[in-house]
Amino acid sequence: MNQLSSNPPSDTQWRDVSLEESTDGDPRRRASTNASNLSQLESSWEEVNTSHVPAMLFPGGKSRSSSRSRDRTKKKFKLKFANFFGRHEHHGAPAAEGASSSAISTEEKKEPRAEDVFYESLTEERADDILEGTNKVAVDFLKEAQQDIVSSNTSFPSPLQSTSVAHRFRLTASESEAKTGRTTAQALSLGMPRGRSTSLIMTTMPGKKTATASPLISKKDLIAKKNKRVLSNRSIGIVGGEDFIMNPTKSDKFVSYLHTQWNNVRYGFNVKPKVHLSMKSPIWLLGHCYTVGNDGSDEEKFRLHDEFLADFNSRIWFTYRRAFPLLAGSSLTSDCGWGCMLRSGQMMLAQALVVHFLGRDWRWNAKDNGRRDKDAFHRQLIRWCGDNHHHDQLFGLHKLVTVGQKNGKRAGQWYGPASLAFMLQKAMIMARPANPLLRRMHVYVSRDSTIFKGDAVELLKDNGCDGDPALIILIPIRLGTEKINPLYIPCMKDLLTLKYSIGVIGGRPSHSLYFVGWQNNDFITLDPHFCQETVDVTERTFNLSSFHCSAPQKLQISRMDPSCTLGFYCKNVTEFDEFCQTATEIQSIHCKGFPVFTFSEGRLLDYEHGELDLQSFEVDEKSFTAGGAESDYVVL
Amino acid sequence: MSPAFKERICSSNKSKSAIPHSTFKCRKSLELRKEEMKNIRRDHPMKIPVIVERFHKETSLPQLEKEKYLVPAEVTMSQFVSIIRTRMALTSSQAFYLIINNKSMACMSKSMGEIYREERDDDGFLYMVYASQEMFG
Repeated sequence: MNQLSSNPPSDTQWRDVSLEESTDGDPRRRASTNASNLSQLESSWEEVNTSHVPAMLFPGGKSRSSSRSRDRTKKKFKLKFANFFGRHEHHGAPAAEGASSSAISTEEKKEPRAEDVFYESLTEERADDILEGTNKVAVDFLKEAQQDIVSSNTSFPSPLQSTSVAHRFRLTASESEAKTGRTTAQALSLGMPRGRSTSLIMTTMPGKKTATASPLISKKDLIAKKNKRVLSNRSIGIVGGEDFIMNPTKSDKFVSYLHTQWNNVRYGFNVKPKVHLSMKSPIWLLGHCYTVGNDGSDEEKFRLHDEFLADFNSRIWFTYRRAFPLLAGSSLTSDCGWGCMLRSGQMMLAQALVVHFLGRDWRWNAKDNGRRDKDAFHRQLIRWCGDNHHHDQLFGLHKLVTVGQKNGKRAGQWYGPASLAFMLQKAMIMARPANPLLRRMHVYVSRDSTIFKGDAVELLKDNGCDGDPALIILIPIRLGTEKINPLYIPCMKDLLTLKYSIGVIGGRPSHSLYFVGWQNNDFITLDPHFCQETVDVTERTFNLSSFHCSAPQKLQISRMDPSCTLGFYCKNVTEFDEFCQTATEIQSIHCKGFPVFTFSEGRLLDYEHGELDLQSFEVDEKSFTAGGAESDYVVL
Repeated sequence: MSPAFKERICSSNKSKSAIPHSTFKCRKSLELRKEEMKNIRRDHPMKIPVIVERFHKETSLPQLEKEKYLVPAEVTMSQFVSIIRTRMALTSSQAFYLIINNKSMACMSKSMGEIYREERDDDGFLYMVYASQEMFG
């Protein structure tokens, strides 16, 4: 086992660990089987494979020769088999044969101790049968599987495929089918490349019982194994776990590519290759306008288009990731299908941090990696949002999920833009003591679409940090019931042209997007519905390319969901005052009487205290009936 | 939207969904509602009749026990919102939006009287729908 923990995790280890766990408390057996298990199996397999062994062992099946050496070999073999199968039996492992063997598992549950029964029934004849069956089936299976892989070269054996093969085991091998299947799978894994064999093993035996801690296994191993198991149980999981990500081979990359494509179809990522953005009408992107006059030359247009793309490409893009460390309190290692709201929130926060640390005019250049100091900040921002348990990932998915859990949200649930705003606020409160860089940063979330100037200014004048702190203002709003009220569209557009804007977290129904700008009647969006491999952000120089999107997407504004959260960033009190003024002006022009959000003097607390008088209304309430018993009115 | 068309929508709604979840408008015909309005005007001439209903797709907010309110005209929107919030026992961080005629009521300083003048229905009631935010995944 020592040898195992020192090695990098591999499928071999995974299997070994599983064997190890399945042993009971008997130290003798454990000692004899742990590390040597694999080699034992291997040698036994070789013996099985060389056809002379069974022939020599049991010539004519039932003939009783009294040769001592033969008896010895027989005993040895019997022991090996008993050892090996017994261990699996004991753990109720056949139940692990998944879809193909639900019948078996129920059968075996009835038996009091499958191990004992197996030992008892292990006669010479049985052993012979098992050996022959194993041998034949295994060789067939191996050949077939290899053929499958070679011929299809594009895909790993799908769960379906392997289940059908497993099913065939069941038919050919007699009562010992479960064990046979396992042996074969084991054998197969010995003779096949790693990535493949892992996938096979996992698909043939999904759904095993969770590991119980054994003193010989390090925690790390356990977690790695757990991760892999979870993945193997999901139809869209990664094949092979961590080592697969760390050292991807060419074919693995292809598998990963297929996964990604499938996910993109599944989660509705717009697969349009390129959205056409003509430069004829102005493009607004987070307060910057890209426009040429009517008489602008083509050169000018191209230049502006490139400028726009450079700007767009510099926005940090967070997407679904898969195969990240297990989320606490769940069995999830991917946020595909549920985490898009969190990703949109991360994008908005990252944009605020970009403006704060690097400035709105900062551009990311993939080629020269930008200026050294700015590049470091850029990396740090992304590192903060990394998918990891590490305490340095202040706004990572794991952190946000933990924050959400305190508000009664489970990992895997969907989030609304308002709950996300409060989660970001909380995450920032927790992050500020952890990192001195964030000391000068506050998040304010409006209540009831109202910004209380007193509260905001109080945060902006916080003396606890050196220098004036900046403020991120998040305003959760709802602009209609079923659909956005067209009344608000011009207002929303104008709010995105403000230099204080850091975008809008919204989306179309059930599909979260991050709106960064607009052109004509379309929002320009960053879409998180794109599944990518997790990048290890703890590395010093991790790859940044998956955190930037080069192809802008569009969404018709009238199709947006009415629920969204507006984001603004103010550097200091002066900027905040300016922002209040401009925002009020914009709203008085476009939606007079029905503003998207409002400002209120004073503080929320005062307001809540003021409401105390209101309680008298409630006390005085009486009911009034106006026609019919069911029409009771509450009179305030 | 013409009243006749509204009636038609209501009747189609009524056939689909159970009575307790149908809206006030669907439960009562225009005549009945006008009759009811007359009674209210007679007994409470200074109060504004408001119907507060849950948005039919809303799942996270609870159903209000009483949906009909007679509100003094000088009560502001913010006061009214906090009354409803208290009645539903919501925390201040829980998203809650009152929507009138598909317009969000962000202007909290407006009085009910003003809103009534602008947004009242043909039958004399003021209809409000409450909802939290949609979820995304």
